[in-house]
Amino acid sequence: MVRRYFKLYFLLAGAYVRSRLQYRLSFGLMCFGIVISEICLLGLLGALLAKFRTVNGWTWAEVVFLYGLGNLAYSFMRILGSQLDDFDRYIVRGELDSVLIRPVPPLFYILASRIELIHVSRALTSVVIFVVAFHLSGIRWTLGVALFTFTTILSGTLIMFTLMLISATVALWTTKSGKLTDLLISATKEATAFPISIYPLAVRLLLTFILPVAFVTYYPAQQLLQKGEFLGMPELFQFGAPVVALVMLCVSYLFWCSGLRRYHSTGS
Amino acid sequence: MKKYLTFTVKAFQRTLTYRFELWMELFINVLFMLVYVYLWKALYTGRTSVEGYDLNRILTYIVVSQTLLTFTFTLRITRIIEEKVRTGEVVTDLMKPIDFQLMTLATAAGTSSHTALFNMLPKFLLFYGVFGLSLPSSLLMVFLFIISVVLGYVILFSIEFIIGIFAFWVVEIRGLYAFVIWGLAMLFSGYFLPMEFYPTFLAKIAAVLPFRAIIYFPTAIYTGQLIGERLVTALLIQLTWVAALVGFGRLAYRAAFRKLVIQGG
Repeated sequence: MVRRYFKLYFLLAGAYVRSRLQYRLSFGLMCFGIVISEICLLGLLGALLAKFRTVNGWTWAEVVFLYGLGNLAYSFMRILGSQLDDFDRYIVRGELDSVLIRPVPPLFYILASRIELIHVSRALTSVVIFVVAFHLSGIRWTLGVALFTFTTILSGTLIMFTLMLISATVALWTTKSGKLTDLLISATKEATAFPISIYPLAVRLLLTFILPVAFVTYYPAQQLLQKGEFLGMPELFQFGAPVVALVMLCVSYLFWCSGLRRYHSTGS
Repeated sequence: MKKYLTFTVKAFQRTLTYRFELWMELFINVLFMLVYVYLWKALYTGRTSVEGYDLNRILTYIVVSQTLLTFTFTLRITRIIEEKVRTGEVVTDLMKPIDFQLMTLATAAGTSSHTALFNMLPKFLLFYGVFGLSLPSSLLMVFLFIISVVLGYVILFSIEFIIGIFAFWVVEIRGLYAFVIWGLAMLFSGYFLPMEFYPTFLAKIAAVLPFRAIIYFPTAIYTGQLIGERLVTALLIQLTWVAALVGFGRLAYRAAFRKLVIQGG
């Protein structure tokens, strides 16, 4: 069963990758563009912190650490979940109808039909950025740290994915969602690049409980960087990422299912 | 002129259809701007002035530049042209007795005036009120700021237009678009921080590219960073880019259309 799905996934995703690689120059330019923009943004961040030294007591290395961590989760999510980006296309063009009659779960089919290798370039850049920042922040690699980092990145990817899924699902009610999903995920990603201690309480609560992206970077970083900066939240939050990811996974999948149940074709 | 205005009005009305989408977009935009405003507030704690910017001026700069950035991610000219070429719809545009470039600009202006009115203005006023930002120093400056915004807009439009026209030659232009708009323009437009904060070598590169004319110039005019001779120079640079890019766009689409005829559609 599981093996069948794996095979199916690679079959579908592989077809998409092959079609993308037909336009090699464009593919290359896009990868190049992403890498350049990542490096440049980092350069600007560097220029900024060279002037100011610290943000709320966080050094450049520590901010880059946060940025790299968020970016890693973001790029993995982008590789696997790009299809949710313009999911409303399925509804506007009536393509969802044909997905619903296939003998696989609709969400599986939708995700499998596109795997965006362009974002591998972002992931690789992020890995380099993260590893360097990791080193500069003075963290020692031990088995425990490695495991914790791995879990954090995995949970972060899932949390970002579920936010994407929830905002894509909204289109089942409203038909069109435009750039909404893309915007939401970019905004939350941006928000996690900096220590949330710079925001007022309302924004911190928003990023902790409603769009829980603080669990992608900020809280796990407390454990890795030993900052001990919890802003009145329970210290347990530093280990909270996997739990939040699981809860979000359930919530978003239920939301998706209820959206599908009430879905009516646009008839176009 | 009137026929082009019709495109503007129609595009304006079309955007009114998706209310929910617009409200959500506004909410997320506000979140984006909050990130940067609070980042700068945190950076400025215990400081009064850096590179000629005090806290009020830097916050004003960030809010104005972030507001102007909205044009960059709501203008979908490249995508629209690419789609017209791919589906062949462009043929019906060619049959009309109108100028393709002007028509595209008129349509874009319709969508963008809607964005300006219902997205950019409200979020700017919100931040203006909450964070006590400043206004330009005089009415003349407001006027020059608006001129500069319009020029910057035409530059952004022209760049997107040119990339879109490339679709006549290469089918896939998303790569080029991402590279220019999300790579180069983001880095060199000064939306993230003012040019004064750029390391020298980056500022030098920015000076020979058109991107700072999209966001940095109008914003620096607003905040009073560009005055006197430097302001005039900035406007002249913008005008030069407008002329060059609009002109290049015309050449490009004429060549593209000629090619289309040769192929027989």
